[in-house]
Order: sequence, then C-alpha cells, then structure tokens
Amino acid sequence: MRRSLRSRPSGGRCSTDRSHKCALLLAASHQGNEVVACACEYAQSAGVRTGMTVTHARSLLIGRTLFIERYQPEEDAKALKSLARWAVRFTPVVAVDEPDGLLMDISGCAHLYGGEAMLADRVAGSLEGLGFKARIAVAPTFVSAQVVSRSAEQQITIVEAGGIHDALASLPIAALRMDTSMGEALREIGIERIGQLFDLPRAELAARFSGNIGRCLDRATGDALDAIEPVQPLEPIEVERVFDGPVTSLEAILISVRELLRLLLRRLEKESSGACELSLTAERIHADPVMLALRLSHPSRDEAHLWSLLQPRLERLSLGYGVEEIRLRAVHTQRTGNGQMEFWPDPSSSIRPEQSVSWGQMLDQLTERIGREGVTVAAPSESYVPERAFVFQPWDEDRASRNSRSTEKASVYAAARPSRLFAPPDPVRVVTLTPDGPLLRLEWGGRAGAVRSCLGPERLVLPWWADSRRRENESAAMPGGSATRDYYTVQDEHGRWLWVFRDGASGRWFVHGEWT
Amino acid sequence: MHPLLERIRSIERRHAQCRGDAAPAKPIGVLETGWASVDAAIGGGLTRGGLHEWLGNESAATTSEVRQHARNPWRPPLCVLVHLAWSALDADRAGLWNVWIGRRCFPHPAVLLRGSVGDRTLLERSLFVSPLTPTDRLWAMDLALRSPAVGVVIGDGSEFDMAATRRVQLVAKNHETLALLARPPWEHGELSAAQTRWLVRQESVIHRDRSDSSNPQWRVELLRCKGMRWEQAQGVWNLEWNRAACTLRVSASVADSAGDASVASEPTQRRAMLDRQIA
Repeated sequence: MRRSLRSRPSGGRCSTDRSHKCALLLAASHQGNEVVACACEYAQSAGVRTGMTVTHARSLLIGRTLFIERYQPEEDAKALKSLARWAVRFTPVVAVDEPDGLLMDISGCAHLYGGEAMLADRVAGSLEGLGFKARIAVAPTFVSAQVVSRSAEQQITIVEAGGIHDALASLPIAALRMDTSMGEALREIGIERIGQLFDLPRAELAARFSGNIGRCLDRATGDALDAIEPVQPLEPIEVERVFDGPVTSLEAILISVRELLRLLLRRLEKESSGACELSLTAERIHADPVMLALRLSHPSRDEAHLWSLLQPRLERLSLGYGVEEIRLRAVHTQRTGNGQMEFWPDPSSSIRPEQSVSWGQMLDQLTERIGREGVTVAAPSESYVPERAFVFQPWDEDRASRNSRSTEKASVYAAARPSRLFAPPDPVRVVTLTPDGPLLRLEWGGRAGAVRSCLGPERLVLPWWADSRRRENESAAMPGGSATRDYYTVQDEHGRWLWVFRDGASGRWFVHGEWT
Repeated sequence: MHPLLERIRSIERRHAQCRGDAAPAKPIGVLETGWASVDAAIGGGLTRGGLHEWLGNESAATTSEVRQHARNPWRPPLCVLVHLAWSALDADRAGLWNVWIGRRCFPHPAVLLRGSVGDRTLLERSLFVSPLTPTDRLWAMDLALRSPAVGVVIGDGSEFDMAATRRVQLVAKNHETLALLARPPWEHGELSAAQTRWLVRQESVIHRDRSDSSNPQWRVELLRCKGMRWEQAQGVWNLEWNRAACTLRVSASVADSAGDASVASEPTQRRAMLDRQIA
C-alpha cells in the first residue's frame, strides 16, 4: 500500500493531505470477484476491510475521491528487497521477511547509535521519512522478534535477554505463522496462547503434531540455531579523482571528468550495464560541494552522448576557490545487451552513423535543453470535463505509469471536440433567440457576424461527487467554471467553427475552442 | 478496412491507366494524403524526405500592431496536420513516432483519437515538445528529424527564415523523414526551401446554401510544388472535417463548383489579397 502511495505523482499525499483527502484501494481477483487486497488508513476509517468486494468498498466510500489500483505482490517483493538494501546503512546483515517485514542483525551495531532503543527509534524515524509506518521489536532471536513485532500494539518493543518466555507467553499461536491445519488442531485441544505450548512436554508435542512446532519454539527461545539469508548490498559504481590542490581551471576539470566518464563506462561495460542516472560531485575548498544529477531516458554507456549532456552543465559549474575532488557515480544502472559494432559501415546508406540519434538520445537532449516539463506526452484521464479530459505529463512519468498499469487504460468520453481548446475560455458577446437558446449573432476576436449554423446544446455538468471545496476553487480560478455548461457548435458568417458555451450560473457566454 | 481501401485504389489506378491520364505506378518515397485529387496534382503525394509548409488562417487581428498583442494572431491548420499524421502512421507499419514541436501547433488530444472506437495509436505515438524560442524550435526539429524512430515531425515554423527552412529540408531529405511546418499566412512572402507550400483558409459563408454541411470546412490551396511548373502546381480543394471520425476528406461540394468562375480565379485573387496585406 505504501509503495503504491509513494509511486503516485502526488507523492503519497492521498491519506495525509487534509485539504483534499482521497482513498486508495488495491484490488485483486478472487474466485471471479474483485476484492480489496489492501486499503489505506483513510479507507479503513470509512469501514473498508481487506477481503470485502470492491463494489462494497465503493458504496462505503461514496462521495469521496477513490483510486483503485491492481494489487501486485511481485512488485511489493521487489520494493521490500530494495528497502532491505536501504536498511544496510544501520547494520550489514539485513534479510527480507516476506511478505512485509525486515530482519536486521544488530549485534555489535547498537552501541554506535547509543543503545538498542535509540537504534530502534532511528530506524522508525527513517522509515517514516520514506512514508512507511513500522512496528519494531528488538529481541535476542529472530523468531521472537518476528512474533512480537507482528503482535505488539506499541510501535517499539524491546525484549530483554531473559524475558523471551514472558514476552511470548501471552501471544496467540497464530503469531508463530504455522500451517492453518496445525493451528486448528491446536485450538481443538484448547491451546490458544504460546505460553500453553511451553508448558506441554516437548516429546508429546512432537509425537502428536510434528517436529516443526518444537523446532520453531526452540528457535524462538534460542535453544536452536537460527540463521537468516541477508541481502547482498549493491556496490556503487563510482570513480573519483583527488587533485593535489584546489583546481580553478575549467579546462582541467573538463579533462578530468571526461577521463572519469571513460573509466566509469569501462566498468559498466564489464557488468553489461548502462547508466540510467549519473551524479557528479565536486568537492570545493571553503565551500559546499556541488552536485550535478543527470537522468537518462534509457540505459546508456555511449560516451559521446553522455559527454554532450555533461559538458554544458560543467561549463556552468561554479568552481568557487577551487575544486579538490571530483566523484562520478552511476546512481541507477540497468542491464543492457552487448551489441556488435560495425567495422565497415554499409556503403549504400547515405546516413552516417554519427549523424543519426537514437530515440533515447533525442529524449535526453530535448530534456536537457528544454526542460523536463517541455517534453511531454498526452494521456487521457478519467474525466468528461473538456479541460481535464487529457493531461500533458513528462514522458518519464508517463512511462512509469504505463509500466505500473500496463493493462488498464483510462476511458475517453467519446464526443466531438475542437482541434484547439482555449485555456481559460474566452468571453464572447452573443445575440440569442432566448436567454439560453440558439445563437443568432456573435462577436469574438474583433469580428462580428451572423451565425450560420448552430448545433447543440450539449450540457456538461461538473462532477457533483467531487469535493465541493475543490469545485469552488476551480470555479473561482476559471471563468465559466460553474457547475453547468451548455455547449453549442457554431459557424459564423466568416467561416469560423467555434465551440461556445453558456455558463449556467452567470449566464455569460464563452468560446472554449475552435476547429482550425 | 485498409485492404478494401487499397483494393479500391488499385482499381481506380487501373481504370485511370486505361484512360491514359494517370501515373503508371505509385511513386516510391511518397506519402499519399488520402485525397486522390490532391495526390494526383502533386505527383502522387507528399515527398517523404522533404519539408512541406502549411500557411494557416489569420485571426481577426490583421494589422501588424494588433498582431503583436493579439492572443491568437494566427491559427495553424491543426485538422490538416492531424489528418496527415494519421496518413503517415497508417503507411508506416513500424509504428514510428510523431513529434509535435511548438505549443501553438499542439492539437487538443481528443482529435488525435480516430473513429467511434477511439483508436489511440496516434495519441500514444505522439511526443509534444514545447521550446520557447524559434532557435530552440529549429534545433528540436533538426534533432527529431535525425532520429530513425521518428516518422513525422510537425512544427511551428513561424519566424523561420530561408536558412532555417533549408536546414530542415536538408535534414529531412538526408534522413527520409517527413517534416510539416505550420506557418502564419503573412509569411507567404518569405523565401522558403520547402518542397510544397499550401494555404489553408476558412471560407466566408455569405450565402446560406453554401453552409449546408454540419462539419467544419476549409479551402486548401496549393501555392508551390518543387519540380512542377507554376501553372501546373496550383489547385484549390475544399476539405471537410468529420467531427466524429476526426478525418478530413475532399468535400463533394467542390465538384459542383468546379466550373465556377470565382473558384477558377481564386489563386489570382488570393495572391492579390496577400500582396495587399504584406504591403
């Protein structure tokens, strides 16, 4: 759920933004029904529970903005693994505890943070900064920490070395995450708590049920060896150059960075990877370091292309009193194939290889010069209101949203629309047969003339279910933004085809678009 | 739908060959516009590796002073450009990209959907680039034309001079990519290296009987076609926009007015009018 919230363009504001709350549900198919696999806190406060049908959840959330996305357990597993790699900053041994936990071996690390409690506080605070809420348990064994963290009500619980029996005794046996059949069998003979299992003779327990339950208890208490499979932290691909003294010559900096880039690309080539994001840090004397970040549309290790993006930025770099050290790092990399180079180019082709640019290179160069907001794609959004029916979004956001919701497409309201839409709509003077009736004459753009044909009206009403405050804000910001609009397609005697509407509240007329 | 269209076209071509008034085969490296009479007039269609200029409509603000302050001093022929982008996409089976450069020539995305089912191919294969200055627009067009993943580059060509259009024409020719420029009508007098130049105008409707269609119509005039003599390279067509299907077709009403004296003398009248405006 948190992963989905963070991946949204609003940056996970769904549940936390008080001015405009919206609910997020993750839906999964179960026996032919769409059921709620996960619900945000806001939805839960309205009574939505995991396992109920999506239709039921919709009825509970009526009148509130609702987003429903597909539940993707495999994506959750990937996100959990990357979170485990992130947690290596606290301790070198971190393992994934599926489906939603992390196991951290903090032996010998706690004192660096001022004790176990301080370390737990630090981890909880850092996770909260990333948008995750965590329940943390510090215990002598991994199993006891797992059981306590999943059952405890407080955010941080610390189990002392001799207190494992006491901590576990009152917890339900379901916390041991045993098979459903075994849990039912234990419940049939009246065993509800872990403490009751401790009281039973171990040999009888193994004979009647299986040896697993005994081993699980031993691992929880520390009587049996427990091991985890830690994630391997990714080694950053980084190259650096330390100068003998502060360097103020831009030419020297450029030569050094070019050499560093060559070294970095050689390392990437060995790993069959391409850089998706590069960062360059210049440590300056008596000043803060300067950092440049370069995001690429596709993984690349094309030196000429990367240099063409880096060089203009370096030339604008403020060197201050001099640069002492330069670090170049491939922040994100992706595996790429190894293509064979052409030694003898095709003589029949009139295009030389250095003249053509790939799609990815073109996107990178456009983004670098014009800016990310200037290179966009248009995507339909779920709205029949003309100005909100499509959004122009940066190409990388669109690619991310296509990857996450590749099978789902927003529906488009099928109605004839003009080739050009004015934002905001332009006021127009009209003469009509009746106050809300067909147009006889209009004056717009410095030209007045009789109306030759008038088709309509097409009545559009702004969504009544949207938040009233948001609707009021839009009405104030946009002329003619009231709840009801009557649209007419009009041809005047000058041959102009205009899309004109009458604002329901004020009775004023506006031109919203034109066929050109 | 496409096989049927191809079949009909092949029958028409065969029929025309029998009469001896048509080209024997479809020229290579040419994009058919989908308007048979227009294609016939320019030798089969728009040259793929070339630049084609479309002069748009002028707004009410006609004087240069008002033009500078007007919100929409001119209107690019967006419906024509959308139609040509669809034609190129239909012809290219590889699914190449369309790059729209310059905010002024961005159509409302709703018109990029085709037919009642809302075919989104063009919408999903369109990239919109919005440079702020003419220099950046020219640079972006040059870059986009060099990419083999791009099939058509459609740009706002206002304030482009001869050198700029020559640069675009040369890059388009070298990389065999179609370049379409939308330009304001008052730049008709500017020198240009474009393969073809067109003027798209809205026709004033004085008589009631000439506005019988419920669809927008434009009068498209061929001003120049490289490689053809001046008297051959001219023609006027009425194009009608199908608002539901988002396609353009040659209006049937033109056939009736083919012998009309006002239409026959249209290029001369129009040139005189443009010359007056420039003066």
